Amino acid sequence: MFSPEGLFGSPHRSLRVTSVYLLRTNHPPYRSIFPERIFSFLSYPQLVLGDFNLHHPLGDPCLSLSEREFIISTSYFDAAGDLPYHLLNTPGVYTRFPFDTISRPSVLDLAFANTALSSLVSSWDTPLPSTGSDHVPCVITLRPPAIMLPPPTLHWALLNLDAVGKALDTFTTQPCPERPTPNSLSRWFDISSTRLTSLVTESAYCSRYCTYLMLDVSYSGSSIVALFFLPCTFLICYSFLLGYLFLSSLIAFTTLLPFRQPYAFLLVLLD
Amino acid sequence: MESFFTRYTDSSAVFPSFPIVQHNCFGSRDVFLSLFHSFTMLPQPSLLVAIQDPPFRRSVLLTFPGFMSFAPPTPGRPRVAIYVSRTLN
Repeated sequence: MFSPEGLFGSPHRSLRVTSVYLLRTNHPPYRSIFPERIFSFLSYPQLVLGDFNLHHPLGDPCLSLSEREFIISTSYFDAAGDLPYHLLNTPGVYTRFPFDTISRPSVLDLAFANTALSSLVSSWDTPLPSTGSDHVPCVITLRPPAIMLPPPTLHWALLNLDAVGKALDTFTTQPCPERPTPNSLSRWFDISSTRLTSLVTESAYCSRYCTYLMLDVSYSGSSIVALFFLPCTFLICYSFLLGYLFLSSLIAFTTLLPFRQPYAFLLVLLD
Repeated sequence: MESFFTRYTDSSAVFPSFPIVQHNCFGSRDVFLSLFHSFTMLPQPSLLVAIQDPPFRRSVLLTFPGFMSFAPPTPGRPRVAIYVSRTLN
């Protein structure tokens, strides 16, 4: 695919998607396509995906492999890793569920992204229902890279113990189901534990990195610090700017005063 | 001509996601249709579908409304196909 303006505003204007279906053969490399034909070095984004008919511990960590099967699959994974291509599959998430009860589920559908594409890959998932095939559809989602702020973390040192204690005194759980089943008991436990956790976290302060000055500040919903933080940041930045302008004017004035050239003074000031 | 990608080059715009689906259809028309109808369950319809062992009808690749199909020019029956949404232009 080609876009003259760049993909998602990135500098890359092309995206190559390679659909692969490897069939078993009786001669080396024991699959229908050589790994070198599948994976090639490209400076622009490339996605290689398909039914590889390969078993490898990187995709299926719980699988015990025969040595032959390991050697066959490793040649493909090595070819991918050397360029490098990155495996997008979530390890251990099966993509093939055989109809017979003898075989175990396996990971045969693989997706690889080269380095240029890696930053655009948002997720690999199997969210779609069964289509009647013994394979499940895999969905790879591309999304433009975004700067994600880290989620706020709890600042336990500033935990308001008095408030938590008072809240815990009044805390009551919902009555336990009269005839509990495993599911209803699990649901009751989840609801109660979530309520209890939120009760504690609401009383705790959060730490969040400030995007402007990279300062670690603490705030809570009722904290006065949160109300004054942004104006204070603005005032500090403004003071720094005024100070910089004053100092540069002073230096320029003292340097160029003997020459009595006002235009040069202006040039330095603007610089 | 405005395409899907150029439409979202403005950094202030909210970028949509770009889902790519991969599936082995085992040459079955039913599997193929089930797959394409299940796209309604995705938060955003799939724009590109990579199929292994696609179904054929009278030696012609099966089509689905809203998608263009591509298969490599091989002497026998192609084992892979790509379906591209027409919204991509």
